[in-house]
Amino acid sequence: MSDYTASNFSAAVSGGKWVHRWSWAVALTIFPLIWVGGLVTTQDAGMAVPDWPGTYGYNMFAYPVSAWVYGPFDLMVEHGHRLLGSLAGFLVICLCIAAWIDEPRRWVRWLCVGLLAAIVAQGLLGGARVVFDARTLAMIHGCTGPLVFALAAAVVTVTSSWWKRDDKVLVSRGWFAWMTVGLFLATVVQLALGAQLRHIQPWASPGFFTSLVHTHLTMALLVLVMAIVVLAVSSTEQYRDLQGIRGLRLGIFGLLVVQILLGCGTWIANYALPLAGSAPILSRYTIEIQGYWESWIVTGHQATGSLIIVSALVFALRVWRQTKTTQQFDLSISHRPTQ
Amino acid sequence: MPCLFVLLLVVTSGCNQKPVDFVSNQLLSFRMERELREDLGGRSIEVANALRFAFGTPDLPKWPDILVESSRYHSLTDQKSLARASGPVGRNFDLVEVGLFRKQCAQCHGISGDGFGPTAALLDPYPRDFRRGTFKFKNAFYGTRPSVEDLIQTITFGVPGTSMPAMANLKRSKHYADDIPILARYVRFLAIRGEVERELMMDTIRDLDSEDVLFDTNLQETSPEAFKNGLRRINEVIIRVADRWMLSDGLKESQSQSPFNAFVARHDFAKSDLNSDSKSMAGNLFQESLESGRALFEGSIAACAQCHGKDGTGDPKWKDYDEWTKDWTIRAGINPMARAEWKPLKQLGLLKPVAAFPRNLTLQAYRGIPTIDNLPISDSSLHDSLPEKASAEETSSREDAPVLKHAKSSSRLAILRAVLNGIEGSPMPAAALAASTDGGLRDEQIMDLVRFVESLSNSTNSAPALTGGKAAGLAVLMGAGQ
Repeated sequence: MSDYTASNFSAAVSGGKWVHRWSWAVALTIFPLIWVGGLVTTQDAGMAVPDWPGTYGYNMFAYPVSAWVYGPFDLMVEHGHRLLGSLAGFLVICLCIAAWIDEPRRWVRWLCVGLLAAIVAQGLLGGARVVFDARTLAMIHGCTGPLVFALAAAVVTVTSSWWKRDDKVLVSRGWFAWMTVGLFLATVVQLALGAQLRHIQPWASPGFFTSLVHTHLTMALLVLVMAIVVLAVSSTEQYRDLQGIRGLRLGIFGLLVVQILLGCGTWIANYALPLAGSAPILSRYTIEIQGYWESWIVTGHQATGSLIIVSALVFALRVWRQTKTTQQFDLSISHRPTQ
Repeated sequence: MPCLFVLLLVVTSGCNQKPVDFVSNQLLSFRMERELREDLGGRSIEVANALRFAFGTPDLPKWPDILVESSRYHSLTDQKSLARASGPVGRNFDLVEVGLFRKQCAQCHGISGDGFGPTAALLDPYPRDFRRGTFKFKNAFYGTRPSVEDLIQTITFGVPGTSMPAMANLKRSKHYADDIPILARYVRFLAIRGEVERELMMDTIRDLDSEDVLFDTNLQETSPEAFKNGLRRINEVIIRVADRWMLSDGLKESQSQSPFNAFVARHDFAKSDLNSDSKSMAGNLFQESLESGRALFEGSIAACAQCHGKDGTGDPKWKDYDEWTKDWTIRAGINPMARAEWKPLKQLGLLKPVAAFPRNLTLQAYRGIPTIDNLPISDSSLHDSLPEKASAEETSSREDAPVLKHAKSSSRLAILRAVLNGIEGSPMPAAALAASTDGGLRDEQIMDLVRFVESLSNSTNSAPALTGGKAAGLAVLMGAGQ
């Protein structure tokens, strides 16, 4: 990552502006795509369109607008998800073209190509879910979606001018940097557990579901503890000078708080209030199927989870950009150019 | 990445391909084995084969031929509803939505309607097991089956304070408008199938000699006579069960004989509520009525206080088990309070036995709204006060209109029905009535009793009912639910 020399540094800073802009466009398209994808699961609309890549025999893009906008809600959501996915794919192609023209760093160009491969694979996975009518594939599709989002966020991060600036004070990379990676991985595992819960088969045993719920809750606690440790350590004197993580720190903490509340709301929206017999207001609560707020809360829980994954990844990338191992320190001292 | 993708497809594409089948009632087999003191493994397989022959599978259910042949049973359900409700969730190329039961119900009630869906263990109360044919909320006699309108009512308005959601939202869109009746008919199909299984296990196999075969499709070629005998036995059970359901289906003259329906037909009592009574009853009549109600509540005839406590909050010392739990515990010689006795049955589909405590009547949370379609009353004002009469515009303009209406307007009907008909499956009995029992309650005493029960929660009347996302949203804002 730190393969700059003095000669290509200025070119790297000035080049790639369009790559950065396209990468933002991609990330900003994928986030609503994640929301709509979550809504597909919330509404159990994965098979609302029985064919793929066509839509009811039409070319996907030629399916009459009136048929899906005024059609059943599940059809609208599923078809909308497909169209938005296509738009995201198109934007990633533009990103790759821009990278090949404007981006001087070869590894970034290949990162963009990797993003293209990931989004194509994600689309094919979604298609396979329909063709095979396989709920397990839907679950995997739901897990990999946020990873594609995270990859897009990584492209945004590494193409930013902040990343390319060479004015950073490098600090020693210790267990803290690895902890940021651990936090990212923990959020991914947590999302996978959540996806299992959301896509549970109706013939799964209650024991299995109960274990999943308990594991999801335990993992939530672990993520929270890890996040608190990472955020606390990053505030210590040793890491106080790290750039670009202060706002992110607050953001991650805020997202975790929102996520915990949304998790409680999701349980209530799906399975009723706890301690229903303790107060009139609780005992008279009735869940509504396909209620407006229910859908927002449940889908929001899943979408916020993907935002936490992305934030954890960007945090880790920024920390790693500003840390070096002891050997790298030694090397940089011995190879320092003499003016 | 592409390699990973291909690997993923290869590994997972077969995951959903296994044929889905209804789950056998293993707890009932266990109970019968204990009772008959013999291994019923072979008989269980014969029963499962018979049920598959008559009722099909969750992906391809069928209405038994014997019921198709007679037009008398056509109103119970139909093949079209079964096709819509069963199978995996999705839409056909003609845009018709299928798999409604798996979409809306199976996560809790299980694919067989056994109340053993994935979420079941975490819910309180547990999801209903349809296979006994016992349903709590119905207008008909104690011991009879619910009508399709009763089931529609429960599905539409849900059960407050439980995990059973209101599906009234589905009625708003023309695309989902017929989902609820279809689900109700499929619930009935699962219940009938479950009852047939139950009768075959509990009665039919008792009468068989050890060398007799209950049912085997292979006999169709090798021994047609034995096959016909087996089919006849099964059809007899199917007809018997279907006849029980027909009693509650559309036969309003039979429905009207239930104590609740008859009472509503005789009196205008159901039209008013406690507040209007307090204004309309002259002199001390209202207070006297409440005092009389209190005396009945605490006395030995109605004996409500025995379980609900004098203050109506429910005596926690008085615990009992519902019929579904007793079925495989007490009646099978298992002590529900002895963990060591019931724990080995977990692999058979057991959920930890949970006691049914008397309801806290001060909460004004009455589960199950009476179905107005079956009520033998013609007064439009009563109908108008009930949720099914919420106009289409009102329903579409106010998201939670029907459920709110339910909470406010039908408390008296719900109490009245619970008192007169009892709540089947729960320890709540029907009141002894003067018309049928010496020393039973007279109509005026029923009114006094209901007024008194209403008054128990009168102090909480001002608290609005929370519905759906409002509660979940409130929880999100307040961090509730922890």
